[in-house]
Amino acid sequence: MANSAYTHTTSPKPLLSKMKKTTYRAEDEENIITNNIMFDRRVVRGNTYAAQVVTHNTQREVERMRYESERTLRRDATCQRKERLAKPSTPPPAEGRAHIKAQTDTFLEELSDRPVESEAVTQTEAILDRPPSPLFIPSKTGVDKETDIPGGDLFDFDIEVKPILEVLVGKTLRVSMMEVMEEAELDAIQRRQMEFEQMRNAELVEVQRLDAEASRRFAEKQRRFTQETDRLRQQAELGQKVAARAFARSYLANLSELAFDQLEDSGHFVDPVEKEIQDSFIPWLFDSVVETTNNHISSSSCVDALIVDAIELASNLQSDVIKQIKQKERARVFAVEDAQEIKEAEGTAK
Amino acid sequence: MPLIVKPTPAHPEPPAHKIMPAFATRFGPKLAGEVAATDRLVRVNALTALCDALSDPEQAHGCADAGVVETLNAHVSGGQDAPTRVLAAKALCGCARDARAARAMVDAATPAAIQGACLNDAEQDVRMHCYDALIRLGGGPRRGASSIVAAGYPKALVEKAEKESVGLQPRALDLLTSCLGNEQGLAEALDAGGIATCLSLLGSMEAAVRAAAGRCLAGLCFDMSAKDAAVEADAVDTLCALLEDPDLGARRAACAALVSVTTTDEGKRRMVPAEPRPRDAVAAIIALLAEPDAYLTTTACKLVANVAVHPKVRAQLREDKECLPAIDALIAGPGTDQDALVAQHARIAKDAVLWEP
Repeated sequence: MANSAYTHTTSPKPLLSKMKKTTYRAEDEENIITNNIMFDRRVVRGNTYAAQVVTHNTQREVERMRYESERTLRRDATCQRKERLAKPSTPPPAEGRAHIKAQTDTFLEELSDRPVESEAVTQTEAILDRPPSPLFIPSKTGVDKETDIPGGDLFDFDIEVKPILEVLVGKTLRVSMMEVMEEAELDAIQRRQMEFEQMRNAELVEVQRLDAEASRRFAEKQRRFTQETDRLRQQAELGQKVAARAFARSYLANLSELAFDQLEDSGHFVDPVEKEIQDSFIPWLFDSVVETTNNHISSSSCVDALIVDAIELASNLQSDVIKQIKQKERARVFAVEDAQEIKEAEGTAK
Repeated sequence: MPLIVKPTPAHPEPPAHKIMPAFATRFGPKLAGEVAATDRLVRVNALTALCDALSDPEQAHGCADAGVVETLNAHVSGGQDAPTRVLAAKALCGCARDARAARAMVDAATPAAIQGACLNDAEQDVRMHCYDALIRLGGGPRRGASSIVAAGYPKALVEKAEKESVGLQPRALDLLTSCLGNEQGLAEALDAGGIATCLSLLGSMEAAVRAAAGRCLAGLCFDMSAKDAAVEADAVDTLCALLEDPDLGARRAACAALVSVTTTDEGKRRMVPAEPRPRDAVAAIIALLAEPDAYLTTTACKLVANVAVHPKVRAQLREDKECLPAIDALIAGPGTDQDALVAQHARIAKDAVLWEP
């Protein structure tokens, strides 16, 4: 109790409940039923500073003004009713027609929407000069209670506002700081996200670099493979060329001579003198030889025939001689002496 | 004297332009209705409240379920007043942060709906918020980038990037970069002349533009034909000059783009120019190896591994007094995870430098 902010001379107690008993004096205060003062009509709620305090005189004056205005209205209504009853009413219009207000005076006047004004005079009534009636105070109800409020026990704004203001200012500053920190955190997250994005892009470029490096190496490998293949192919072609050249060299060693021979044979290299000799002279020579030979043969045959004839003639002559010799032999036998002569004769004949 | 106290009157209905948040599940539908209000004051105040509420995932989910994304699309592209367009675009940017709201954006075809506002709105703030929303959407759900590409952004961004104001050029290029993860987006960006645009913007006076252009060029050069096109457009010389840029982001982007470009043999050949450069590119690459930034040293190692394939560059790297010691220092790092990655690529670079046929 000593540490509490307030001290009470009389400890607070709940008020009596109206539902239990509404007697002026509660005889048995021990059996009272507690009631929530928030629903007690006797307790005025709201800001006491903003409440409008109406005095009894003011209320009476308001009631008097209301009474006066009601009386004026009633009097006006009575006058209008009397005027309406005094004049005969216009018969109702025929079917399909309507009444229209029109001026029937000799001199027309301008009509306006201005309401009819009338002057009225009034006088202050004597009743207002009467002093106000004493305030009616109903008989006392409820239970009187007493309490002692020492100095400093009531609400002091300057003192009580401090902790509330501290809380309000502190909470506002805290919320503001939280918002600032949240914005800073969001900015940091966004900045970090941007950096991460840039780093991710850099890593993607690194992937491109590695891809390019792999492509470059693959291309280099393909280039070298193609180069080696070309080298082997060229080497094989070189071997084939060498072999072909050797073969060709060996093959063509006598080719020129054969070619020249064939060309010469085919008549590509022609000597006009030789051609003249071959074409003209040799045939002429052969013809001449043939003719000469033919002549020689014919001469020889003639000679042979002559010789044969001569031989035949000689043989005939020989046979004649032989016959003569034989005849002479016989004669030689017959004549030895004569034989010598015959021999000489034969020698002469030879 | 006793007081007659009148009962406190009921609370008066608050004015419509004073946005009162509803409780729990009523929060999203009520705010969505107020965002769609025809009264300008109500609409603007509701959009302001929506921008604050979208930082809470639960409230963002409730608003997305209530169909606030369609309303925002209509506000951004509907030719409303400037504050409405700016706040609606800002709210879309907040929606893109939340996963469920981002899905709702994809379902509502937000990229196609706000394309005109994103590229041609008179208010720079509207374009800025639209770019931010689409960049986050492209980096969020997988369908996000696809929806952006399907709306025809790559070609439009390539044409817009050079004409855009300098302050928004980095965002336009970043949005284009987010489209490049999609094959169709990459092809459309290349067909629209993305390489030439990026090379042109690499010479910008603004460091952020140079960095964004380098990142975009690195993304474009994922495609093999883009590498060849970049090499033909003398991208190697431009990027080598950018390796010594005072801005770290520009150096990182240039190094990443060079890594991508020098993957091809022709790119490696371009590292050895016919006419000597004012500053040798190989010396600049070696200088990057000593940078404190881990990402930069990693990409520098990748670049060394790429260009060392060229015999002349390899000989130059081997003869340099600082190259191999710098690579050895990276290999013998302190041992953190990041250093392990750097050391891995440093070993690859060293093997490439010391390779002999």
